[in-house]
Amino acid sequence: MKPFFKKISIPIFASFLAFPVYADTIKVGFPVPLTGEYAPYAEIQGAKCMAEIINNKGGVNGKKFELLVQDTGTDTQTAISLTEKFLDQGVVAIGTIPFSDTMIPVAQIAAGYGVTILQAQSTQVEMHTGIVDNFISNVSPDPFTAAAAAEYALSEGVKNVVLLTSDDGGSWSAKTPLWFGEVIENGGGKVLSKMNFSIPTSDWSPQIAEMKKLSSSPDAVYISSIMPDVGVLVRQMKAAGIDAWVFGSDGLDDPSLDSVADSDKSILDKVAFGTLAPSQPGSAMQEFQAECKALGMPVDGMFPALGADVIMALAYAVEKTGGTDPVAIREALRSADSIPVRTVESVSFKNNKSHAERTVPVIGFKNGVRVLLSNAIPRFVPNWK
Amino acid sequence: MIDYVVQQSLNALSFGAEYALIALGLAIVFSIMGLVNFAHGEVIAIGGYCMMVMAAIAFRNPIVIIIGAIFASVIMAVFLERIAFRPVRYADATTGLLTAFGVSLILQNLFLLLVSPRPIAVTSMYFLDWPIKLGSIRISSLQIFETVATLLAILFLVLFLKRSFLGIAMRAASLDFEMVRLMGIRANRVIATAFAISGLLAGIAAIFIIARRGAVDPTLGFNPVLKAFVACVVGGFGSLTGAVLGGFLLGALEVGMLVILPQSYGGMKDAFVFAVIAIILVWRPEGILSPQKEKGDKI
Amino acid sequence: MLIVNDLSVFYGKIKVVHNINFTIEEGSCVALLGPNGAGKTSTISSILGTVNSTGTVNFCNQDISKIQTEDRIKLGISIAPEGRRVFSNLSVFENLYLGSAIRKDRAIADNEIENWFNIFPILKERKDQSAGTLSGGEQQMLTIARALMGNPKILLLDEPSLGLAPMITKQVFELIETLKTKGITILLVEQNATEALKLADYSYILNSGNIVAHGNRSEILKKGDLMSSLTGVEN
Repeated sequence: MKPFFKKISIPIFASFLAFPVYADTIKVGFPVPLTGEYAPYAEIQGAKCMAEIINNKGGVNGKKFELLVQDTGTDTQTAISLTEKFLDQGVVAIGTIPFSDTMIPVAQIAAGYGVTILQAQSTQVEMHTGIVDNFISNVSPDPFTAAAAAEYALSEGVKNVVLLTSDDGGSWSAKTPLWFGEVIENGGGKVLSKMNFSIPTSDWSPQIAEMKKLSSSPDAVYISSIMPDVGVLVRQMKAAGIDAWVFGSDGLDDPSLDSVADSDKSILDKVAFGTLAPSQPGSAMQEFQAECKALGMPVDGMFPALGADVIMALAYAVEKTGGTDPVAIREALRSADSIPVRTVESVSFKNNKSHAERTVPVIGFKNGVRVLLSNAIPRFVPNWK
Repeated sequence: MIDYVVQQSLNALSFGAEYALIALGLAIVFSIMGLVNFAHGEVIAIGGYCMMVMAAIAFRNPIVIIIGAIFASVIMAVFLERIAFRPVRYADATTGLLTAFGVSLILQNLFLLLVSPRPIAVTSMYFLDWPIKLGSIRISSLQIFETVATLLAILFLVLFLKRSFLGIAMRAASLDFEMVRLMGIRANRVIATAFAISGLLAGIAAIFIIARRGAVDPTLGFNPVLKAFVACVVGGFGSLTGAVLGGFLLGALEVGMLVILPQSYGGMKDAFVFAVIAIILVWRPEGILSPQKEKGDKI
Repeated sequence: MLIVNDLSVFYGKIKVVHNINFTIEEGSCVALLGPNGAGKTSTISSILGTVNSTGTVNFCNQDISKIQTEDRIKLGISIAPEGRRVFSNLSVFENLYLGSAIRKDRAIADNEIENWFNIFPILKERKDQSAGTLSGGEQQMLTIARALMGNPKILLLDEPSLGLAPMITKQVFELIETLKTKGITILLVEQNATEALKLADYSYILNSGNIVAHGNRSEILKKGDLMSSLTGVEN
């Protein structure tokens, strides 16, 4: 008898292992950059906090969220290996390093499983050229933030602009300024000059000397770069006596920009940026951050906060389809007229399929405090596809 | 037009001063140990993070913050020598290089995990930076401070290496480490001094970098150190004056290319800078002021 | 003054000196002779603590075999190493200055540098010149002067005549003779056994890491064939 029992008990144990207790959860895979160059853009903090909030309320249709998070160290090959691991564990969607050289191969692997790459913060235009079908971004691509900033600039009477471009950040830093310029010219303004810079740059004096040399002084400068570099630009322009707006992209959306006004409250009065979600005091995002802090899960800055939207969109789709089939979930996301999210009221993927239609906020400062200058879907967006 | 040229030349000088200051820190360690200390950037970053911490616990006195930051960098440099570089002191150069890269990577990720991957504002050094008008030319006080500090640093180092007992022992150690021990001189002390000096230079660099950037992030020092490394190679690795010369040359090249190249070639700026450097290295493969054939005199 | 007991030296697992014993009396000049590779320099290195060794080294009634190299130097052991090893990138003066590193009485040490300059006018002439520009003989003089700057109790001279012209070799041995008359204890390692035997009060012959003979000059010379094959000294 004894050997017989032995034989039969092993498969029974094995089958228990194969169906762990979490079988009935909504699994989301996050092979993300927790360390390395792109660590600032990981959406994990917000995603985790939103999952916690939903789970605390009993989950979706009784199913709780289970986030599978592992660090890629900003390495594409690691992201691919982790994606394969998470796919085997039955995830319904994946969020990864928000740059096309990772997102494309990851999407190609996930396609075989019907799983969607649902990216919280990806604005790269390269992802919307039809190279993969199973990619959805929760935000609008860069031409939209550029257009929103330009529309606000035109409304402030800006005519002559200088564009700072750099190849170091791909289309984000090279082309976004050109899209801004296109909208300005479409609105009757003029691009005075285009100048180069590198990422990172901690001293803008050569570019500023060039601005001073221009025959007419610019009303605005546009740059799509990172902090603290742009903060240095703002200060050095002020010191050089150039009274022009500094417009920028989501790269400026970092709390360290606010600190530039520490000693001079007015220095940010003519600084504004088109970004991905309103972040001024009283915004939905700040409320979300406060809620998370109370839960003991702090969310630092906009990029992490955007993770909340992804989880809410998935929650919506799971509720709609009544299950966790990844293909059905993607279809549900793309057919909805409006999906409620956290950082803005709602998003829709119906018209664009691969990126969200959502309002694009322009954030500025008054007395060193963030204010929402505008928040709309831009009327004129340059042809970017 | 002449104003514009003068203005850009002054800008180039201040770019160069920063590279030179950091390059000196690399060169002093390399000249004694033959170690390219890529972790020098993180020694700079520690200075920055120290300022962040001091601002957070409400230290307002700028002198205290400056001294604190320099002190933190010196301690960090000596600490890294003790735990990371001493064990591989007699290993070959590649081992040292890889150790330095490893230490650099570990520290960057520690900053990232323990503090934040994002930049944290540190505005306590803003007071060092104010505009100065000379006719139609505008410069920043920071440009003057940084250039003067670099020149003082090289002067101090040359005097130290020529005149002080430890300085002479350091030069001797660069040639024959064991023989210095056989003079009854504590070799560990000599090397720790070299690291302490590199930490001092890193601390000073950290103050200028923070005064300009107003924020600290994990790669605060890594990127400038890569530039400083190039400066050392061009100037002649191991030569202190070479490091300074290389730093100023690189600053001039960068600003020059930025100004001269048309915008459509902007992405090629670094390519052009490195092309010029390649030509210099063809002319002088060991760098402009390469030390004599043996790892000889540093001055 | 220096008692070496059961000393073995290892390079990795290879044993190059096999359980040797010897003694140096205060004020005496002892020579360690033997062919290339006999283990002479290894023996010196183990006294200095720069190689792995077993056994004990007793210096001035103190076991120094476990202490750091720098501390041994501070106790009064000084070395003029094989190949001279002057700091060629330093000036002559700086070389001597480092030689006096362990001295507490800075003023006296500076005075001594002056004295050395009087003994070697050529060093004084070149005091600000880098040591690398000196001739081989001058470098050897500098090495010995540097070793003496620490005011040592015992001076280890490793192959002082190596690679020098016969004229210069003669000068070097004259210098050693002078040091000897001044009462400095000397351990002289030499391949030039003929000259060394003349100088030394007592000699040990090393071969393949073993002491194969010892005694004063006449005793050594009596060993005949063995000696001539090992040291090249003709009877």
